[in-house]
Amino acid sequence: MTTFLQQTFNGLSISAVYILVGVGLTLVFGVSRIMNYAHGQFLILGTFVGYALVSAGAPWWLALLIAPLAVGALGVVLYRTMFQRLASDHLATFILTVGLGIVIQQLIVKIWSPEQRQIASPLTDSVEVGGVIFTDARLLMLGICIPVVAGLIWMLGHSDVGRRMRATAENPHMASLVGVDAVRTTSVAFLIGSALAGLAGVLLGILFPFTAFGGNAFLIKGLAVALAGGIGNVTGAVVVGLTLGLVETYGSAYGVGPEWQDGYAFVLLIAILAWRPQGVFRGTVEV
Amino acid sequence: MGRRRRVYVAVNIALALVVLVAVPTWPPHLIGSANTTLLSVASLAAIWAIVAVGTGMFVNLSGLPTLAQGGLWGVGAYASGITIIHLDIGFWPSLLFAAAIPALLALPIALVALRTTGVAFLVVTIAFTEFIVLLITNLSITEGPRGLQAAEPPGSIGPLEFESLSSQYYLYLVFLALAIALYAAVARSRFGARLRAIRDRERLARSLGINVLVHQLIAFELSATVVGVAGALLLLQQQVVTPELFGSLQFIGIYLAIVLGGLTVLGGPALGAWIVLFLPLWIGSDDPNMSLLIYGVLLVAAMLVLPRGLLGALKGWTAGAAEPAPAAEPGPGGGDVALPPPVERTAQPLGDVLLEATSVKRWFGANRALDGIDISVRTGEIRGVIGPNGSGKTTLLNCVSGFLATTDGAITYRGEPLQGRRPDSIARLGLVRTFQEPEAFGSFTARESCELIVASARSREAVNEQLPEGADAVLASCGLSAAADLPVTELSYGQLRLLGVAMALSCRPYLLLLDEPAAGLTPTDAVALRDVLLNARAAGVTLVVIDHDMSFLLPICDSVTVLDGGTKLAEGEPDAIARDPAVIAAYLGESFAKRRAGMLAGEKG
Repeated sequence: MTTFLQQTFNGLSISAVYILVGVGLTLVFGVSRIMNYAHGQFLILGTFVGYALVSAGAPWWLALLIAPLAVGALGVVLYRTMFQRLASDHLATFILTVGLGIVIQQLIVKIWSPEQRQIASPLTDSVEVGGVIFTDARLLMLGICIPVVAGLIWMLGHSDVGRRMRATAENPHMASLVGVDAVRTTSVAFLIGSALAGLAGVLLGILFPFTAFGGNAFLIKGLAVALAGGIGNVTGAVVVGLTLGLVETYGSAYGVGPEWQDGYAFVLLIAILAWRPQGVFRGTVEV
Repeated sequence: MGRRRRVYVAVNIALALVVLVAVPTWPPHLIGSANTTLLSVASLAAIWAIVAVGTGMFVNLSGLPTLAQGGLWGVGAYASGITIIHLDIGFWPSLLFAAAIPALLALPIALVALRTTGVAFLVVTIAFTEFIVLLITNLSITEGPRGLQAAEPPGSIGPLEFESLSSQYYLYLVFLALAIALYAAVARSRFGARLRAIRDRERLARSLGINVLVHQLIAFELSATVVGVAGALLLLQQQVVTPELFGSLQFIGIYLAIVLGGLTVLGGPALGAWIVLFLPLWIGSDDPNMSLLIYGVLLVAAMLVLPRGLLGALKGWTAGAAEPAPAAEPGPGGGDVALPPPVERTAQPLGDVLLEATSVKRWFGANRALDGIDISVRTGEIRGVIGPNGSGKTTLLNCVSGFLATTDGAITYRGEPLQGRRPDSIARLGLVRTFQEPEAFGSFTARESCELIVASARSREAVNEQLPEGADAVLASCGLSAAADLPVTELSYGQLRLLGVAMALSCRPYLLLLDEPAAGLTPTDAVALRDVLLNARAAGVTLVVIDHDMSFLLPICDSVTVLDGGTKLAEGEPDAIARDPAVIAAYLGESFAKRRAGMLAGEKG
C-alpha cells in the first residue's frame, strides 16, 4: 500500500508536467488553430533560462517567475512575426515550427552546452508521512501546477480576456465583428501557453538533470495529451494528462518494463482517437 | 501544358539525367568534406529522394500531411535486414518483404488515422511512428539501439552486377525513376483525379458517389510500399540501420526536401532531397550541430520565402510567361450562359413511390430538428420543400442523403432501406444531392469536374440511361459550354450553382435533391436553372427542391411539402399550399397572399 501511494504521488508530479505542456498546446491551438511543434523546445528553453538565472546567483523562485515570462514573450514574438502568416496550413505550420525548434535547440547548445545540467536549488529535503516520501521538489511541482491550472480555468470561464479567447476560438470572424481584437487575443493565448511550457521547464530542471535534447519527448506527450483530450479543451487536457502520468508510473512499477514507458502515450492517443476521432471531450476552448 | 513549357521541362529532365548519371565521375573536390565521398552522399540523396517522392505523392494528392511514412521507412529497412539474416535470403527476395510488411502495417495505421483530418491526422501519425521506433528499439530481433547490420550486396541480374558502389548508385537511380513514374501515373490517372477531388472538397466528392476511405487507403498503401522499398535500399547503402534514424521528428529532413523542391511538382521532392543532403557539404561544415542549425534555418526560410518550393516557384514563373490568361471573361449577370430551349411544363402521369420517409426524427440534444416527418415522393414528380429557416428542410435532406444519421424512423428508396448506408453509397444508387452553398473542386475546370464524375458513374449499376452521357453533353444541357474550360475558381456565382447541378447530373441520377439551388441567382440564371430542372425531369429524373424563392419554385412543382419546427405543416398542390391559411401564417406571410391574389386576379383579367 505504501508503495502504491508513493507511486501515486510520484505519478502525480509527472502528470503535472504533462498537464502544463498539454494545456499550453491545446490553449494555443484552440484560439489560433496553430499547433506549435516548437513547444517542446520552449520547455527546454525555460529550463536553461532558469538554470542561467540560478547559476548567476538569482534565487530559484525568481527563476520560476522570469523563465516563464521570457518563454511567453518569445511565443508572442514568434506568433506575430512568423506563425500568424501560416495559420491553418497544418503542413506549413509543422515545417516552420519544427524548424524553429531545431534552431532553438542548436542555439541552446551553442550558448550553454550539449552536456547534462541541473538547477541547484535548496529544495532537496523531503517529508515522510506514513512511509510515503514527499520530496520538496515534487511538492513544489504540484503546489504550483494545481493553482496555475485552476486559475487558468477560472480565467477562461469568468474573466473578460477568457471570454474573448473562447469567442475567438469558437469563431474568429464573428468575434472580430463584435469588437474582439483577434490578433491581440491570440497573442495572449500564445503568451500564456508558451509561459506554461517555460514553467514546466524550470520545474523539471529543479527535479531532474536535463540536456538540450529532451524537448521532443515532452512535445510528443503534450501532443498526445492535447489531442486525446479533445484539441482545444483545457479540461480534457487536464484529465488525459493526469491519466497519462499515473499510467506511466504504475505501468513501470507493476506492468511491463520501464523501457516501454514512453509507449503508453502513443497507445493511449491511438486507442482514444480510434474510438473517438475528435478526442474524449468536445473541441474549441472549453473549461 | 504549353509547348514552351514542355520544351523547358524536357530540357530540365535531360540536364538532371546527365548530372545524375555522371556523379561517379565527378572530381571529389566538388564537395568540401574529406570524410564523406561524393558517391555515398549522392547515393543517400537518391534514397531520400525515393522516400520524398513516395511521401510527397500521398501528401500532395490527399492533402493530409503524414509522418507515419517515417516509421514505415524503418519497417522496410528492418524487414529487409531481418529476412536477409534470419531467412538467409539475398537482397532481391528481401525486397519483397520490405515492400509487403510496411504495406501490411500501413493498413491498420491508415484505418485509424484516416478517421481524423488536419492536425489530428498529423499527430496520430507521429504517435504511430514513435511507437514503431519504440518497438524497433526494444525488440530483440531488431538488435536494439545499436542497430541492425546486414552487408549483403545484391546478386547480379544477368550481365548486371551490383558489387561496386557506383553500380549500386545506379540501382538507386533506377528505383527513383520508378518511384517518380509511379507518382506520375497515379497523378494523371482517374484515381488520382478523384483523390484530388476529395482533397479539394471532401463532402462534395462523397455526395457524388466517391468512396473517400478506399481512395485515401489505396494512396496510403502505395506510399507505404515505396518508402518500404527505400528502407531496404537505405540498409544496403548504410550497411547498418539504427532505430532513431526513423523517428518522427527526424523525418522533418524528408519534409524539408519535399517543400524545398516543391510539393506540387512531380520532380520537386527528388530535387529537394539532393539540395538537403548536399547543401551542408557545400557550405563546408563537418559539424553535425552546424548542419542541423542550417536545416532549421532552411525549414523556416522555406516556409516564409518559398512556400511552393523551388520548382513550384519556377513553374509559376514559366507558366505565367508561356500561357496567357484565358481570354474568356464571364459576362455580367451570367449573360454568357447559352440557354437551351425551354421545356414546357407538361402534366405527366406519376409513377410508383420512389422515396419514402416514415416518421423520421433527428434530434440534436434537446433541439428536435426533425420530429416525425412523413414524406413520400413518386417517380417523375417535382416536389418542393418550403418552410421557415430552422424548420428542418436541410436536416431532412441530410438524413435522406446519408450525411446525417436519423434518431428514429425509416427512409426507403425504391423500396430499400437507406439506413446505415454512407453518402457515397447512396449516391451510387442514383440518389444525388447538392449543397446549399455552391461547392466545387478548386483545382479543376468545369469540364474536368464533370468528366471526373461521368467516368466514375460509368461503372455504376444504377444509372438513368435517359440522361445524356458525357461531360460535354451535361455542360451543354446546363448552359455551361462556353465556360467549360475555365478553372472553377473563375466561374461566376450563377455558373458555380449550375455547375453544382451539372456535376450531380453527371452521375445520371434517378432522384435529385437540390438545396436552395436558386438562392442568390440573377433572374437570367434562375430561368436557366429552371429549364435545366425541367429538362432533367423530362429525362426521367425525380426532383426534390428546397427553396425560399416562391416565384421560382411554385411554377415548376407538382406538389409542395411545408415544414415548420421539424414537423410537416401541410402538403399538396402548389396553388392549394399558397392559399393555405396555416402556411401563410407560418411562412409565406400576408403580403405574399395579397400579392398572389393580385397576380391571380391580373391573370384572369
